[in-house]
Amino acid sequence: MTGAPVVFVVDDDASVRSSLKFLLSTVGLQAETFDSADSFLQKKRPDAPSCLVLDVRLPGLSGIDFQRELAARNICIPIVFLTGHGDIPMSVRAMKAGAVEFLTKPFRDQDLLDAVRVALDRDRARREKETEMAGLRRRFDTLTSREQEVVSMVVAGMLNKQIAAELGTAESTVKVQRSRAMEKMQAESLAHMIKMMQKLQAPSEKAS
Amino acid sequence: MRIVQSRKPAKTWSLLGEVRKMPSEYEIVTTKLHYHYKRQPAPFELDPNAPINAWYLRYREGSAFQADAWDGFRDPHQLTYRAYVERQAARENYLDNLVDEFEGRNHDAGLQRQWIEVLDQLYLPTRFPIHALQMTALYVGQMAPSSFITNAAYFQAADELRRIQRVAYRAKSLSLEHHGDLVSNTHTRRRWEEDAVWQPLRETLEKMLIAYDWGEAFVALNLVVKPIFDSVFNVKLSELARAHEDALLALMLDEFELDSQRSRDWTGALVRYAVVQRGANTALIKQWVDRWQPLAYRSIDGIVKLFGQAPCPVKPEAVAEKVRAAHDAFLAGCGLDAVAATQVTPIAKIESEKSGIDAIGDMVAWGAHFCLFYETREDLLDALISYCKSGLKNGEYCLWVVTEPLTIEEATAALKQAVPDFDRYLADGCVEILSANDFFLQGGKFDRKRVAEAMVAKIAGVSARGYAGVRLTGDTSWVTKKDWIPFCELEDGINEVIGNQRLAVLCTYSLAACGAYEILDAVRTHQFALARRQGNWVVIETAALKRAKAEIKRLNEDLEQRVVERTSDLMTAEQRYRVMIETANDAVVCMDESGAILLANPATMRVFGYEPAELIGKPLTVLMPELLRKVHEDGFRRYMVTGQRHLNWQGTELTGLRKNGQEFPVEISFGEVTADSHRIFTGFVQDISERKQAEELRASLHATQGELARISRLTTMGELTASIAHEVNQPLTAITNNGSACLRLLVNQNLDPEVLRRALEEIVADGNRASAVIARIRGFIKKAPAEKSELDVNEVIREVLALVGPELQKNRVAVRCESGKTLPLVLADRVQLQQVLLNLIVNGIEAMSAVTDRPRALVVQSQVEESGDLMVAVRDSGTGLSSEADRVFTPFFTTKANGMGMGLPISRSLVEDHGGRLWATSNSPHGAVFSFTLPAAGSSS
Repeated sequence: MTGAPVVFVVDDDASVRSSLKFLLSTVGLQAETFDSADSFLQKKRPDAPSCLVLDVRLPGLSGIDFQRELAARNICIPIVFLTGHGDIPMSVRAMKAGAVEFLTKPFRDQDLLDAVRVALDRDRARREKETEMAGLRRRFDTLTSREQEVVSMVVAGMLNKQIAAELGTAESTVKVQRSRAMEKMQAESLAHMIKMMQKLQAPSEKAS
Repeated sequence: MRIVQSRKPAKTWSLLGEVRKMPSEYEIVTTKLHYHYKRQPAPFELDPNAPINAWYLRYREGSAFQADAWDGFRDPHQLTYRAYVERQAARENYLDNLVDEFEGRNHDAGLQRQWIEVLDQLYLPTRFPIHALQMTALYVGQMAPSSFITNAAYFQAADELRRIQRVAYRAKSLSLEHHGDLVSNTHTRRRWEEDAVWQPLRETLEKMLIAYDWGEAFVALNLVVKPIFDSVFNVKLSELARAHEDALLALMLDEFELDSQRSRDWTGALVRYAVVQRGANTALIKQWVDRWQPLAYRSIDGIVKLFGQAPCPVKPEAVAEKVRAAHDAFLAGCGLDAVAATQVTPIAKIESEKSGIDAIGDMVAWGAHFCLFYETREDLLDALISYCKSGLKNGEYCLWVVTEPLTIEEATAALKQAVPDFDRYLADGCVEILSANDFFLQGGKFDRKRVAEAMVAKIAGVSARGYAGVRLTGDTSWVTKKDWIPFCELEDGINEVIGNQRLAVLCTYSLAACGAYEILDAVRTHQFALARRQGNWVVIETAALKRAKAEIKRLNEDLEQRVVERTSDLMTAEQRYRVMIETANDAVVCMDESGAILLANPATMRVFGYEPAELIGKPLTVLMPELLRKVHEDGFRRYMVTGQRHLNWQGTELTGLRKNGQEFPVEISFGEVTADSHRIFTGFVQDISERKQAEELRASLHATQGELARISRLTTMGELTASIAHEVNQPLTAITNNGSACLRLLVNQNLDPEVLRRALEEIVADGNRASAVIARIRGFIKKAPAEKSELDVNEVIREVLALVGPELQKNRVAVRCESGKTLPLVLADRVQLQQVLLNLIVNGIEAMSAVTDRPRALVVQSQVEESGDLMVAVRDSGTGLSSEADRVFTPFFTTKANGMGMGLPISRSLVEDHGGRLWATSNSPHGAVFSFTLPAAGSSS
């Protein structure tokens, strides 16, 4: 269930907010505007791909600090930075911290829209990734503990005979457990199973 | 209740009395160090008859050398103890280095033996005479009536001591290389006391040491003996030393000559001062100079002979000649050359004429009316012949009225015999002989009035013919008893008639015809009477005669006195004016009606580069650039014809032309005087090149200050660049967003006119917003000169706060404005006031940037003070000021890593330019307060 993509605009200047909203609307994008980082944080995130268009200079928290704050809160939302003055160190820091784009005002409309597109795509991809992962994890959770053990050993490359010997059960039991796990995981082939397991076992990826 | 009166705090120089501006260091430390000059009842607080008081009263207060105010004299070098010590310490250093240098080169060993001999005779004994010069200088200083003179004299004494110790040093070092006698006191003293060449100088010096009168001591020492001595022993001896390759001695003596020059400088200044104070001082000084000069010259006569005995000899006469010339030049420089005798038209003395009668001798005055008593005809003839002869010889007209027993023929014959060319006189009508009948008794009667009128007419007629005078003589024998009294009245009347005519009347009376009464009457009515005594004519003194003679004598004496005084006054006045013109700093040039220069003063050399003598006779236009000459000539001609001036005679700036062709700015004042029907024009020319330069410097300084302030603004702007860019880019972003959005919709043909209209409205609004920001910034950094206008301070505060808005937000500074209700307007330059406020506010923000434990609050207050001035205070809650609050205003003081430290000093100078003050205090509990005042517009500041 995903809603229409939303672009969150945070800038302290009213005309900038309204003009950005207007511009985004021309490509069919919905925008929600906030005058400060705080007011954005208070709003609940909708269930749709979204991205953040953020001015570096904001009252209260600066844009860069906000970026760090979001990371600290584990909020993964792609950010497009805007700035009234080009500052190379700042832009480098922002990009290193994972910003999608760093634009100086006034910017070409196409540049902004492209950056937003990229950001939204990224968010979409992440959401898809998350959904997928969620599905995998759900399926995996349906496995019994014995089934989980067998699966991990199968994926490690052990023969049934070896697994049976390891676990102290009969090979036939292993075979049965293995096929039941594959069914539950909806794996089509061993290779598939391996890929899924690899995904599940990978260290947690960074959001976005 | 006691009313306490507060005393005005005394200034350091309250001793100088009420002075307008702060006196120089020289004046402060030198004025009125004496309390004893002209102190009453006696200089020192002792018995007025105590010897010391008597001494001063006699030789100082009682000296002929006086001035109305000695305290006005100033040493041209303005030496104070500090200045003197500093200066001479450096000079001693120089000499020490010199000596070291030469000793390092083994200089003394290289000197010829014969030169050492010369030094032994000529140089080493100078310790003794220089000591005498030192002692006399101390005496002059001790006795001087003004501390300014005392100081100059004491420093001179110190200069002498300086010389002496070098002589001693040289004696010792020469003795080490050559022979021990050179340093022996006995040996050198013997030379001084016994060598023939030194004795005249010794005598002069000993006499000078007992010249107790302070004025004479000063003149003898500083005007005569010392300059002549220094001429020989500094200048000439230095030349001699050079000729003998004794460069060390030459250089040392050249150094001491600098001290001598200083002495001559203050001497000349004192002489000129004394002469301006009292013209009589010139004669006094010259008198003293005349007394001491021969002694001084005699003193050096023997010494210069030693110059001729050196290995490289110099002619003694040449040396003496040079010394004299230098001394004459020095005296002339002091203004003591001979004053040209002024042409004084002699006031006519009362002329005297030869009377022809020995007893009278010269008749003391015209208008002589006297009588003569005779016994015999021969007596009468004798006197009268003499009388008339003398008159004819003098070119006077003679009228002889004869009466019985003398006839016209006899008189004529007698005169013909006595006077050569008598016929010619007769023919010319110079002499007339008439009979009493014709003259006195016309128609047989004596009419007094008629006779008187006839006499007057005759005299008038005769005078008109141009005679030197008129002599009358008439006999009175014809007067009868009846006519006697009217005749006496006539005689009385004659005195009035002949009052101031060139007329002499001699009335002859026959003793035979006159009784006692008649004689008395005759004597009474005449100025004096003559009678023959023992064969000689004798003047009988009458009271009237006596009185007249005394009166005349008194008048003549009085006249002589007045002539002398006037001459002296004229000379004094002339001298005074001459001194003024001669010593004026400005060039003074006089020209005649034809435009030729009549005279120029010495300052002309300094100003124009011409010797005054060079300019005499040349046209005034040589002193002007070519381009200006025509203008001057036209203007001058017009003035001569119409009396219209084309320049301001009280002072006009023009351009002058120096001898070397250089043009320079001058200020000239003109004057005109008519003398002997000649018109003379005077110009006082002041070289104002320096003044012009100073004006230019001031103007460029002003420009530089303006530039500095502008750069400071630029710098501040630079520091706020981020804020500025941000502020401008916001509206620009909105504009481009709105514009692009509309274009996209257009492409999609999806543009609602209403939407478009709203978008365009926003674009316009944002565009204006952007240009307002730019305009504000441009206004802040533009280069225009300060333009004061009436401003509302609160408005300016608001503008500045708007400018720094982003900064305040970024730094999370809360700002609050507190303003008095009705503030007066101030007269100020908007940009400069913004600059000051911006500086203070930015400083405040930065001061709080390190603060984390308390709120960052900036308060800007504006209020009216009691004095009517406006006060603005910027308070922050930052790190506050260190103990020396005022240090922050010193240029280049900054606590910022990147700061230049110029903001506050510039702000302070901008505030002060507007007539206000800027200062810093501590805020409580934390932070600092920067406050400034400005006078309200319309207030007289």
